[in-house]
Amino acid sequence: VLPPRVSARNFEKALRALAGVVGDSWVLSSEDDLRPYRDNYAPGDVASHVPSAVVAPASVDEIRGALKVANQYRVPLWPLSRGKNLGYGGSAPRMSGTVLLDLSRMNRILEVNERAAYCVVEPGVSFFDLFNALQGNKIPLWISAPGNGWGSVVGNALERGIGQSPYGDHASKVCGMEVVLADGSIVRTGMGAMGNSAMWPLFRYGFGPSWDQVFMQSNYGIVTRMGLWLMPEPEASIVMTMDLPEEGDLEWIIDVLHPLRLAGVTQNNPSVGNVIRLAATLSQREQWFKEKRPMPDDVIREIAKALKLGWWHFDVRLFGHDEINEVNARLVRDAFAAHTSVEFKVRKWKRGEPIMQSGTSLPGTFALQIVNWRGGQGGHMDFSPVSPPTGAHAMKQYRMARKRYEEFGFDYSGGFTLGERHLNHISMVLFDRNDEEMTRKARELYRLLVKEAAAEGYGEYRTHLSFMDDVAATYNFGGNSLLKLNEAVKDALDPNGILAPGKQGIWPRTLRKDAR
Amino acid sequence: MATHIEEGRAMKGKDIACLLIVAAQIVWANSALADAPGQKVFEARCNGCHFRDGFGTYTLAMKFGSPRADLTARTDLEPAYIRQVVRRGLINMPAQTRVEVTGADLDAIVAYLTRPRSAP
Repeated sequence: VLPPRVSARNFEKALRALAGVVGDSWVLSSEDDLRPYRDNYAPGDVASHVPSAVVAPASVDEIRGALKVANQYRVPLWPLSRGKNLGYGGSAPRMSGTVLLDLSRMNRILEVNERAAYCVVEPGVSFFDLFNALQGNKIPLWISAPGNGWGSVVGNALERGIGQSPYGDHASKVCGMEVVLADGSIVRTGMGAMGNSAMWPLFRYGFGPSWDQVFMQSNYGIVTRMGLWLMPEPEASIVMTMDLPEEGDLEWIIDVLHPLRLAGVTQNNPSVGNVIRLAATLSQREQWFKEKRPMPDDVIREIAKALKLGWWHFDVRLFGHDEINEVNARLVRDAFAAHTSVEFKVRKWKRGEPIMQSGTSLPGTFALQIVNWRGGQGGHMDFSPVSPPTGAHAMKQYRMARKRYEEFGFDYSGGFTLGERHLNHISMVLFDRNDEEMTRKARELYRLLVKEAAAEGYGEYRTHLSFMDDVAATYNFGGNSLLKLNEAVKDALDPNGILAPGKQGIWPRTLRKDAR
Repeated sequence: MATHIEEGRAMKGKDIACLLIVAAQIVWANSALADAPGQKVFEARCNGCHFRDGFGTYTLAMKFGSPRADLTARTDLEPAYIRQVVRRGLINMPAQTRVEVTGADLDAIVAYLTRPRSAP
């Protein structure tokens, strides 16, 4: 496979030039070397997202060299920090023929500042790396890891990933970036633009327009370093776990939790998940139910009983000074006692005890176990619209989604993550890639969910490569004026259209007509 | 400690919170024990999933039973098979790229997993 409008001869020349920049061993183009970069959980359309080669630079200079070659031969590059965005496309590019720019080798932790609680990292640093560096050096700062600790700290923040600690809105903790633009120029955002300011990782805005957010979920530049705020280790924590038995409990759970979250009684975003979401991390579907049709309620209740779960399961995590946590725990308990006789299970932690009992987001990979739910070769896609933080919206979304999941032959597995002013409904389409019919239905279901959610004003906050155009099309106010702005910026910064064509539905001028 | 793996499919009543706590603990325990070069490479590249209570170990235990779950304790792994699984993936294990697990890394991992051991 070749990039569009690039001849085999020119592509060969480009690869030779790239090898001159990064060294022969860091340009990969054999079938064997490219296979691991394919989307391991692809919803049946692997061929739509196949890379033509991989280039792995070790420095900003090498990135600039690669960009020069890419501009000369009009070869598109898809930057990936570590390529572990599993369920959203992994390390595969949006457009087949794109060359992957694998930044895994740029994996230095450039700075950790204990007093001001931040780190500065390169894109190849994983959550495991950062966690081990902090713990290994006894630095009392906490990371916030997402479900997949194997992934990149930088990449996850750029894609606006989430964790369950108080710093779980990762994009909001970014402070300052270094970005290489398509023309090879190096930009430092915020206070970094002063060159000699110590404030780069400390004050987000600088002077004039603020660009950190513009380089997130976009294709405007290659982020080569990032300042990220870390959470100072608290004195203590309390983790309060609750299981509630009825499907209809969801509505009041959200309405009771929201004022607590808004007032800061709980500092992290609680996630209210259903039985199947948890069962899928611990077991396989066939253990509970042999039939292919969606699981009926009585089986779901059996699973809940066996795993000692409610229909809905969530926890509230309190971090800070012990006495304040105790007061907040009482406020949480009282708020729920007005609605249920079910009591919270409580786990307490104090500084000095093993961190794994603290309730913060530790790096792991256990959440990936969900792909085994249907057996065979697992795949998953996340459907993740945002809505106002009310019980009525939660219930409406839950009913809409569950109905469609079951119509298409899937179990509803999902939950609701509650922020201060939003509710993020994340459900997972779990399928067996060996089953073509099931995989096709997974794609059809996903498209319908996006469309129906958009009709109700619920927008997706991220999506798999295959649906980026679908989701971008739902953000359509003013005759798609936002997309037009995105495209105007794209054309100004990257006139040759070499950086990540099609990412988030943003196509460069050179490919726009063909892409539509 | 890792009783749920021995229980395999029967772990229905296990306290989930406890399970996840145990999982995180063992990443460290392994790191602290690292000494052989191959072991260090294995822990750096594979331990995200193949530590004792990790996703990989757990999946293997569910599918094939506990004796085949902990890779570091296996004595039946052939070098060619290890290379194939690393580069091609297996069931739900993603294939590993040559940028992340270099040829030298893979040699070290193979040497570690096939190291001579005295009989138990």
